[in-house]
Amino acid sequence: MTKNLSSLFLIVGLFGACNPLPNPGKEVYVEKCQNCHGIDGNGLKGLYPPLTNADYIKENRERIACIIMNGMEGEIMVNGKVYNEKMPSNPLLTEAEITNLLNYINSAFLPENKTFTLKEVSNNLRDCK
Amino acid sequence: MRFSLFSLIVLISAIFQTSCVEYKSENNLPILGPREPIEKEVDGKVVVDTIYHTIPNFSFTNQDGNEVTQKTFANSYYITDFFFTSCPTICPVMTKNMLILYDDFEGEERVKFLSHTIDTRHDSVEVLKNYASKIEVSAPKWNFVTGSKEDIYGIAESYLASAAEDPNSPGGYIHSGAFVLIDPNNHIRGYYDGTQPQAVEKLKRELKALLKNDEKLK
Ligand code: HEC
Repeated sequence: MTKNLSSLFLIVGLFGACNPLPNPGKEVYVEKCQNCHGIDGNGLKGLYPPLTNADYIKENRERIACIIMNGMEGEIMVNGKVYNEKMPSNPLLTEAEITNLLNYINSAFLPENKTFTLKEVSNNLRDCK
Repeated sequence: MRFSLFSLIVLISAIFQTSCVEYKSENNLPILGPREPIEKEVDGKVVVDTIYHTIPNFSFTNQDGNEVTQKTFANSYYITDFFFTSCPTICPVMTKNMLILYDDFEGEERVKFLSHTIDTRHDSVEVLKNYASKIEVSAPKWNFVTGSKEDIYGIAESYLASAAEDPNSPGGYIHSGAFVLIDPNNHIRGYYDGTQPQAVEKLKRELKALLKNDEKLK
């Protein structure tokens, strides 16, 4: 009887393990970024630039955390296309949340980009212009 | 002989009736909004007419600097919403979903689009032009309009959509994310949540059914 019960627990436990782990970076993305940059990271026509395979992110790696924190405006070029709208700031995000967010963006839209560490992000945020 | 003719008529009308039932869900979209019963006398008898809620006349300016009125939408259905170009929350999603409809009805002259800015201070004709060209759409198919604040907020009320200034909301305004469907008689035929893809699909289906029905009535 106890043996049956414990195998039942084992099975339930296995099923529990199959549930995807919560992804805190994704939660921030869905709430704060997805409306503009899209569920697929492709942005929206000439209005919102893509994150998917964005050369801008790779070339400005150390500035991305600041862009997320402080927003941005002015003309920029992403993957050969010009964008010039305003992105809102996210002053309430913590360094840890920004790190998770950046790593979610990497895994979802920039698979070759190097993982961000909390230390790197925290250094970058200190140097925001 | 006379009997069989009679039964033929009964049969045909029965077929018509069942086919009506079949179409009912999408073809017979109700006319929405408050109604007003009006009593009048016809040949000495009192009859009751219903006055349906109708969008009043309006005049706004679109992204090309041209006047947009009810005449712009003569003989057409139009889908309308309220937005502003710098809106950080739901508007980008509404724009994306409206684009899906725009592309789908591109060749259909009887369908047009009307987006009102509720940020009349910032969204000038030039800003609207810029916005429209960035998403690669143009008037007269899709009109982005501005006007006096009173007129815009007033017409929002007529569409039974909400729009208001609110310093506590991101971007400074609250407004409904509704897409409102208006028919050629200026009656409201449907409300759809412009942020939900399923609702937008429903709008597409129902509008197509209305168009098809109009063709049959011709
Ligand atoms: C209201 C729409 C909006 C929201 C929400 C938004 N962005 Fe942006 N984002 C923009 C716009 C517009 C630009 C281009 C700004 C410019 O023209 O200078 C941009 C630029 C960027 C860039 C640099 C250009 C590129 O595509 O590589 C990154 C990275 C970025 N955003 C990430 C994010 C992240 C992460 C979030 C969520 C925290 C976010 N954005 C939320 C509109 C938005």
